[in-house]
Amino acid sequence: MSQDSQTIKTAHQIVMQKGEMYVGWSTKEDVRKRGGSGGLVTSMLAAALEKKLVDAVVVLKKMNEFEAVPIITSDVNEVLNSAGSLHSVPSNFAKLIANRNLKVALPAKGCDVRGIIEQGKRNAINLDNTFIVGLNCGGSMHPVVTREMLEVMYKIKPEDVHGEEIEKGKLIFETKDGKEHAITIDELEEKGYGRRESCRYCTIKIPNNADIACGNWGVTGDLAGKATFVEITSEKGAKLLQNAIDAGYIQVQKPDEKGVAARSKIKGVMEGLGKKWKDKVFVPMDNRLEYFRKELENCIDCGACKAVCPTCSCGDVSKCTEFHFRGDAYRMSMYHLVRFLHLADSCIGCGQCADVCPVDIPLTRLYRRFANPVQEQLKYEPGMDMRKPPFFEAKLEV
Amino acid sequence: MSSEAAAAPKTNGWEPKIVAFCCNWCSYGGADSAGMGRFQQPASARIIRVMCSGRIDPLHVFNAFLEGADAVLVTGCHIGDCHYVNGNDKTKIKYKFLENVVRELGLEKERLQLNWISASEGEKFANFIRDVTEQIKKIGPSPLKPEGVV
Amino acid sequence: MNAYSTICPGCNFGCGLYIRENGTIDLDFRKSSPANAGKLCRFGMSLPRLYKPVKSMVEGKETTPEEAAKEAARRISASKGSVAFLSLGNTTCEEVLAFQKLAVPYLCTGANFDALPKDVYLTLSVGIPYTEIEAAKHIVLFIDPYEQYPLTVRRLLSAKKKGAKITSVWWKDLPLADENIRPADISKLQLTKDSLVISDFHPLSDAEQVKSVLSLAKNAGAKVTFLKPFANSTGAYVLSKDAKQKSFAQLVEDINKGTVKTLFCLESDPSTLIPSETLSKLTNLIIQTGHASAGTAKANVVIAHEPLYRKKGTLINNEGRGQALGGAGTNGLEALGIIAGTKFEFDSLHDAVKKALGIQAVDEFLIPKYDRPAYGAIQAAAKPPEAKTTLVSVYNPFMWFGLPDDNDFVELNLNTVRALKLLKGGTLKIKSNGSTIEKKFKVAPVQDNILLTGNRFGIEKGSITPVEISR
Repeated sequence: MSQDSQTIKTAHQIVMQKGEMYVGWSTKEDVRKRGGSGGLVTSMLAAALEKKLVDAVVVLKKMNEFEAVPIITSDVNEVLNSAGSLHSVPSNFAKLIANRNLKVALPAKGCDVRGIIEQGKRNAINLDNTFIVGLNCGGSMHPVVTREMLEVMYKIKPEDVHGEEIEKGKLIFETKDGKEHAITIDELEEKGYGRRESCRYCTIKIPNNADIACGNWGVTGDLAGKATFVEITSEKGAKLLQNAIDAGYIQVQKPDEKGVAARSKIKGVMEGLGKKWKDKVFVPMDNRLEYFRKELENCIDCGACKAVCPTCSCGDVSKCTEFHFRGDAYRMSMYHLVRFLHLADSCIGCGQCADVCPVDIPLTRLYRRFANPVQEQLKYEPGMDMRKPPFFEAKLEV
Repeated sequence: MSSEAAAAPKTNGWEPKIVAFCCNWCSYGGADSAGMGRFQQPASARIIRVMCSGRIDPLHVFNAFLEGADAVLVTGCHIGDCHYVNGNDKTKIKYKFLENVVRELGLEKERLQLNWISASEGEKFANFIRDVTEQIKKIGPSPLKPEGVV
Repeated sequence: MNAYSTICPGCNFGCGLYIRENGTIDLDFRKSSPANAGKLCRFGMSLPRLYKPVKSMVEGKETTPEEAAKEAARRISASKGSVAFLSLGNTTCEEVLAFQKLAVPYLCTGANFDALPKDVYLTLSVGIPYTEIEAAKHIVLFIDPYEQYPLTVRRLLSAKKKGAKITSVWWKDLPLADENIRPADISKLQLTKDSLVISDFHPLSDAEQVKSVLSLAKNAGAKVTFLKPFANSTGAYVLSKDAKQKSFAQLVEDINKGTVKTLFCLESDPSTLIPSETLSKLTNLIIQTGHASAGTAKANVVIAHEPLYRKKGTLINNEGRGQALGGAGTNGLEALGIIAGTKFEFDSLHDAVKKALGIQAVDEFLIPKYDRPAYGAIQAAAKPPEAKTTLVSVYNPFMWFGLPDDNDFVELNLNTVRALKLLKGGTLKIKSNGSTIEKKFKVAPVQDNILLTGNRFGIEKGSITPVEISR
């Protein structure tokens, strides 16, 4: 007990500021044990809720090793018991908190953060009331692909899996018997397994667009695996971290230089890999009209790609749906044409649309074909800052 | 030569359908003076008058293509001359996006064109329509034309 | 915020999803679901529209579920001998077992098993695993997967990628088919023992058509699988295997004759299947359900229980996979208990379900072994040639559930448009049984003289209706 109050005392002396970096961990043993990397994120969210910095928190409620449901909760215990980060839960939280007018804190991968910021620009989320805890992300995996991969590549039963980790380019599964099974991500992806396609060419590995960026990259020495590296990227982030320290939920210390260097090295390598993938996927092609028609001919007009799209905030009544009638015998659907146009400046390449398409149209790849040239020409990266989408500008600047 | 021969059957007697969006204050006036001045121009253009080129939603252009237009022209006042101060600046933005989608989709660049035409430029308008008609005759009907539509 | 892991009731495919309740009903994609990898079709995406809250009613007056169930029990015992029980397989296996006990005098699961040989029962009830569809070398479709069972499309595309040939026996060319054969040209169909035939089986299925599909597969030694339109069709059929049942056609006839005066429906909307003039002959229409529908508006007694996603229980999908619903509600069983004058315990019914399936626990990643015995030779009557012009109803989830959709048009081909000189953007007059309707049309690669629709216009006589068309 006395030791705890000691911690709080020393913690009070630190005043968190934008741009600073720390290494930290949860003061609660059970959270440390359950959550990955010292349970800092979970504790920070719980502290925000406990100290009324926010009214609600988004957490993953774990159903089993491969399954977790994102829920919004105001119950601190539910936060402390949440699942932490899972590589096989490719969800996007932007739509979950949109149009709810919440004062909320939530963990977010790079693409989640971008989605939330885009919703913020469209007035569906009040960013002043949203505390975004960014998570480093090297990519996520589709759960069904993961199951098949475990059986085919790793030759282990999905039910026996206890934990997972990505380290030095390898995807490692730990089974209940304590054994580790590792295969390089390159090999997995060559065989069509591994990360989702959009994750492969994603170049946002450390989410500096969030309020605070957290991850295990840069945690060195004895702390490896037991602590989280954090970088404060906004005033809100500073407030969030300070609040958790003041509440006695977490402890932090300055990172060593080796760690800072290691973190930026990993970031560089991962981003380089992403760019390489991008060139590999988006090769120039002829006869594109035939390609798009072929890919879209199986569309059943379910509308899932729009419903899940984290940058779309039109709601049910929108241009793409209102001017589309299933009885039109057009060569290409109006719905898709309008979406190609609207996503040209807004697509963040999160891959949600391709994930939910019932007829397996590689939608993200199609949208990116339209988005890449526009975003490059206009030097616009959606979801990275508060710049207005160029389509809504009064004058073309570039 | 050989490419011309290949294109020949398509163009034989075929008259393209061109949808031209014209703004009320300038390019529609241009179309009007083209008629008044008796400048020769083909009958391929269908003119749709809008109050301002900034009103032209990319959706209108998509709709024209999907309904069977072989080319769509977006015309308006010269930059700086907009009746509504900056309507055609907005046209430029929308056109930028529209152009990107139409090009990426694989349609030829002749099928979508932007031109600023003032009310006094009747000859420019007539020449524009004539040039586009010639270009489209060379490349043939739009691949987006619905089945059964000529 | 409540989140339920549940199964889409739209058809028998067994698509997993989450439903969140937070004042409104929201969907989320359950990407780990083995049947659909989280993907949902057009109907699945419309589920928040389906789950409209329903209230217990007796003759239009609101009451509690207990009172409504007691009133239902009184009416059922009062019209003893003229009561029929209908449940199409939209509810859990546990409720199906309870329902069977109640429905001993007149059980109808909606399928016309009477008209078919006994030994095809299980072949019709349980389909083959979807991985076998993906592994097939030649697939023959007697359905339109896009309209009727959309989640099969990705399995078919996956098979095609691996080199499968896809033959469609349908009135319209399908984008994914390598070969399109018209139903009238069925003699052109070449089947081998490597073929897999996919058809469907539902309350309005034509028995002769089902028999002819079965006999084609039998003669070629090909595999055959039947898709079905209700979430637990497979469960309902498998569990009713030994129960005495009446066919759906018999039920309609009995209501028309007046020998059935009271109809009890469990989680089924009779108004989507039974013509309204027939339904109006009933003295008592009793519906027990979890969501409002056209039927509940007409019913004399409505017993409202939890919607499917809040229920506790087991569904069995077309592959035979047992799938646990993520809710905790059992008040459907309580209501059935009041009507039956007994108390149904969930646990014992659940054990009975597991026993019937021969499994220890419900695991969605395991498909229990089913006995699909080889069936004997089947004689199928030759189909009469189609009349000059016919309207073909393509049954899809929106039709089975009476949910409005963006489908107020008919599909026809360019020849028909030209012959009738139809105007682009105009309408087509369709005349049948003395009534005429005017509909928009869509040009599609459809057979000459065929109109296809995924909608119900009210002029149909079964799935194939002779019509006259004009401009």
